Amino acid sequence: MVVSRDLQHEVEQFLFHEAELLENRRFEEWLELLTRDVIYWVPNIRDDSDISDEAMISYEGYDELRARTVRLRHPLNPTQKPPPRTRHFITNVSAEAGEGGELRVRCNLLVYVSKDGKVVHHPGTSEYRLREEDGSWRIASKKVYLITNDLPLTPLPIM
Amino acid sequence: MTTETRPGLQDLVQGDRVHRRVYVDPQVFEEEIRRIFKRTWLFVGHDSEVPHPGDYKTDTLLGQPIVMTRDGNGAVHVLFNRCRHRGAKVCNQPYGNSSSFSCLYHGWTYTNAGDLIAVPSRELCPADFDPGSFGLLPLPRVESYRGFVFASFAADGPTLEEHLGRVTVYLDRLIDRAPDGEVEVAKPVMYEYGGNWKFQLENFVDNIHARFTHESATHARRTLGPSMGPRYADAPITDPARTRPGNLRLLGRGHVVCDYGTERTKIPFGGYGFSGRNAEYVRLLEGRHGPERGRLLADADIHIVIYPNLLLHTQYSHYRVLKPVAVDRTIMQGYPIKLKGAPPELNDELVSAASDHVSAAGAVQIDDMEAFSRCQEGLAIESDEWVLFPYGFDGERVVDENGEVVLPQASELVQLAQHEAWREFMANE
Repeated sequence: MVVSRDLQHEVEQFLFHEAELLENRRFEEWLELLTRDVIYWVPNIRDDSDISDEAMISYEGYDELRARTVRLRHPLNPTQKPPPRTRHFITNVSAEAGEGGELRVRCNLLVYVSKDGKVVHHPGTSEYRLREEDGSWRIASKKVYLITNDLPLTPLPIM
Repeated sequence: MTTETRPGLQDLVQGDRVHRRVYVDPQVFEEEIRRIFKRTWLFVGHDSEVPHPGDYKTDTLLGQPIVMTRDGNGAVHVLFNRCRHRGAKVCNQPYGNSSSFSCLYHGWTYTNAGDLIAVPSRELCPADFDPGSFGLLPLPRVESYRGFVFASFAADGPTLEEHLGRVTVYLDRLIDRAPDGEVEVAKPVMYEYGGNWKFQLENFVDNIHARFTHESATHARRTLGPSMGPRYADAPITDPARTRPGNLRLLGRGHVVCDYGTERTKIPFGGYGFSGRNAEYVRLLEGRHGPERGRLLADADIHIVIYPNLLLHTQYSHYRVLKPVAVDRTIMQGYPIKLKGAPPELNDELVSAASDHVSAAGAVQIDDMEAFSRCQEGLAIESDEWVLFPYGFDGERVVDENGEVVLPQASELVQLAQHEAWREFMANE
């Protein structure tokens, strides 16, 4: 079930806003986009990862993501001196009604990371469940399938 | 030639110092591949990666394609993944199950034990062409220890048992943590860093760096951990001023172990796999091994380096396989270790903890990768030739009743022991 043009627009603006927060290191504001039971998942090697049979590139709940923002802010974090510069490119956005009033959103994602004179890119697809809380959309889950997840990776930002 | 004015390979390790060329010279790297990696035993995989007859995994060993298979009789093979005809890789899937491999190019077909069983249009070959002598080549030597499969490019040399020596005592401890006495591995995360392979070996038993390199991760755990549950429980940073012989052990041939004993298990919010975390797990181990050894195994907190390409870690249950790609580039695979017979929720926790520890998006290993690439960059400087390992150089060392050299926990003699093994390998042309 395709959503209305207005809702499609709203979803796209939400995704662009999320990307802008991440690109500008506004991590605490990004955390506010998440539900407390969020799962942020970057599966490994295959697309149908079983979390008990495969290591995971990321599998984080709200607390782990909060800890990650604490690390990213810490003045002695060696991976953030200088911080990598990132750009998120988001295309092919589709949205449909999910269960319990949630939205199921899918988009293509290309993240560029520039650090220490090197540029790497991470192409993939993101699948979201968005849930309305207090009149705003929140991310209840975000699963990022990298088409490069079977290659040796270099440090990955929040996608 | 300028080489005559440069120190010989065995002179690159001297006392408490190692020459920068050991890390940055491409010629040294080439010689390492030849004199170390192609001579000794290399870890290839765990037999739980191919649990059923017909299962296989492909990989590379020193850049050469291999396939590890389990044949119909249950035997594990490590074969070069190369058609004997014109050279194509015969298997191009990372994992799978197949009784045979057919070459895409001209259809030569091999069993998963390597035997050549079909040569299409064979009548066009000379009458004396013998398919029996063109099976997939096995690695010259393949042996395993309790499921850990090793191979050697060298037809001769020490047996695997001789190579491992005392390290099996610690490998046993890691494996015996599984209530069923066997471990199995989950599929790995892969990452790479822009630095020499030896940085990772040095780092794995470096008890001094954490409070600098990992301070941001430790801070997050310290401040958020107790309220966040086990995932962010971690040991306190050990005191680098500790000087009495303690937990670092030199086992020969470059193998070293850091055995933390139970000192890191006593913190209030516990660590992964420690006895306080899962009563059912401890009950199972005590049932099998008795209370004393059961508790020792449940609490085991050891880092094991099996020189030159395998690193094992009990607390964040995983091992890492190291692949030297170039003098300044190393690929790592991090495999979570699951404990057969342990409660499923504990194994889920272990896989999650291992991933968080080693992943390129994780909490700890990425800090080390940053250190490795910065060392590589810094060592480009030619006018400062030596890398120093002074901590603990004059410190106490004790040889125990098993011949293991026991060092204080904050000692760089453990890194120097790896370089001494390096020097011995490299001295032998």
